[in-house]
Amino acid sequence: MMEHRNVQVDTALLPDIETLNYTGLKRGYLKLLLFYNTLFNLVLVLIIVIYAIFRFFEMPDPLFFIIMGLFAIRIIWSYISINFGFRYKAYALREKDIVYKSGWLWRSTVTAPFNRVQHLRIDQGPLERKFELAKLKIFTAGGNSSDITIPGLHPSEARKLKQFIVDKSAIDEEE
Amino acid sequence: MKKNDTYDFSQPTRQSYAAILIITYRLYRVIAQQLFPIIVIVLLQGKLAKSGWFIYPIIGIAVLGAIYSILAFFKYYFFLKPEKLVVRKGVFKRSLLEIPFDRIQSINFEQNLIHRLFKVVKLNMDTAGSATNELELYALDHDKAKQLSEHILNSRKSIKAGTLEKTAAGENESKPVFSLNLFQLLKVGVTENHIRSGGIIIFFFFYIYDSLEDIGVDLIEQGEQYMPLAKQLAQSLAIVVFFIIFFSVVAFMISLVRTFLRYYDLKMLRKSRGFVVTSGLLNKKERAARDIKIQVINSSQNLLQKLAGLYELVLKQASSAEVSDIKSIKVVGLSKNNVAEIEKYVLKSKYREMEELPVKGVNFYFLFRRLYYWSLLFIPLLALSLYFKRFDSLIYLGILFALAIFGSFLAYRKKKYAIGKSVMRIEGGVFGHSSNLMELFKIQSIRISESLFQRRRKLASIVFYTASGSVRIPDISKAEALNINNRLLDIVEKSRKTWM
Repeated sequence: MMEHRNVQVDTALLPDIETLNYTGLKRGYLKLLLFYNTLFNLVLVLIIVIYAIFRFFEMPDPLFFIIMGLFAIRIIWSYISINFGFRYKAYALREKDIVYKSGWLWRSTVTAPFNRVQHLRIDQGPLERKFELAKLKIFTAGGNSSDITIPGLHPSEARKLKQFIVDKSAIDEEE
Repeated sequence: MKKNDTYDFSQPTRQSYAAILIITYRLYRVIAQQLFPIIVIVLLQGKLAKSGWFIYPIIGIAVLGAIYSILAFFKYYFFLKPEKLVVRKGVFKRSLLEIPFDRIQSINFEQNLIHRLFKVVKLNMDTAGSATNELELYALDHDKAKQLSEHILNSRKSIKAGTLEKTAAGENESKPVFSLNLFQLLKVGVTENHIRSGGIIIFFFFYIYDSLEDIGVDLIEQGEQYMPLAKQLAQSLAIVVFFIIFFSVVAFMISLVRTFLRYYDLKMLRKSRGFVVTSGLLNKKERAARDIKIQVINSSQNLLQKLAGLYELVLKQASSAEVSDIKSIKVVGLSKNNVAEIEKYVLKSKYREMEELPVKGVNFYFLFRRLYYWSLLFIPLLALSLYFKRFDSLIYLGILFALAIFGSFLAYRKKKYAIGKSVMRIEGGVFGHSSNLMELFKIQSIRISESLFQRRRKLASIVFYTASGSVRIPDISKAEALNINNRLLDIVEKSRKTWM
């Protein structure tokens, strides 16, 4: 039944999502990201090398250098954005919701109230297992882009978080 | 229930015999879609078509399909257990489907031409929970269907105490809210978005072209020999004008026909706690929207509709799976009063709050960014046309750019929002107008985002996610965004009402 409490709240006094104490992700997650990125970049370099070998006997091609330059920029940029992006990924738990922020140049902060959480899931890929990491996925009914995925948690931390939210929201757990 | 059950649904029941035809038709349609490229090849290769041998496989497939459909019909039973609907079906693999009544959100009726010929209806049951759990009964006698749906809807236990009404469909009082007569329907057709209809033509041509190319007929190559002439012609204004007129006429006709097919005899009824909308010329549909499932009410006008004073309304309903169009119910040809009336029905006493709310606009940066992006597009085009000395194209570019600037300015002027204690409205539009109205407690989560450029100006955008899509307020001050975020989260977190 509906509870009829109606206490006046000064919204200016509510804790701002700007001033919360955020918990960052595990450093291992940065390593994992860098590892994946390096793997991907190696493939890129391999493609360039193969292309260069086939082109070696031909006249130097300005387009080739442009493409090379773009690839180089992409590779350098990927490391920069991973490093800075990692610093801004963090979550904070409040009494009634969970806040997750991410993004370096384009920042975004999503807040999901516990009483709107549909279900929760912990994901762990084979590499993540090696790095002792897990992902917590928090699903609301708002569709894909409103779901929160918190990566880079220690498996035990993920389980604790999940249990905390389950207790708060009284929902079915998903295995 | 006044009329006692004349049909005993506890015994395994088959659908109406008309279902055989409908199942066969559906199967044929699927086969035809799959075999479309092959059919085109056969038709294009004159020799094959003339020899006539290809007729035998087609007959063979048709006969097999019909046999399969008949088997499928006789293997398909449904019956009611005390608290659930059970469906047993399958020709090769038998399957048993059990759907508890409580999971059934609403039951929609649909009639296409075959259905109407045999006086049967298709039942579409919309279930909450897993995405694929949607059930269709292809054909059922009208009386039976009505009884079945009433039985199911009436024997649902209220899922969450007190939120679900006992009678959703049925004989309970219903009040007509809106209906379209032929003249109004014509007006709706004329004011349709013809550009969208034009898009369908283009898509259709591309589809045909693509299919032809797949089977090795290259139109461009075949047209190559006429190219020099075509090039000369293309440069002349006459052909451009001719194409524009041709295109407009065809687009106009298409939207007119589409409107008649979809919205013929449109009727909107108000039941105790929801709406029922029926419409359609060949394919008659009856769809229900319960207030509790409606998450966002979108009303809009394009430029033509604005001139005619007509509104379109979309009741966006929560769906368990991804948001699909099927879940939103569209009503066209409404007047401003009709829209307000429908909004009042859904919001009830909260609607009054809406009328006194201060309406706010967005930051000037919203316009600035639009102009900036448009110039990013136009300056290279300008440079190109100067470089290639195509001064004639400057005129077109100039007109388009002026239009873009004007459009951006209108978009900025029209972007408005008002947030109250329990409802909010976000408006927008460029040449037309669009408004999203929603109750605050139906918000699922909130996102605040800032781009690099917004951050420099202490601005942010805020997105509200609901169970039927998201609504966004762009470019407001960061402080305001945080304030809204706090306030609305507080409302959502304190709310005990079920949002669906």
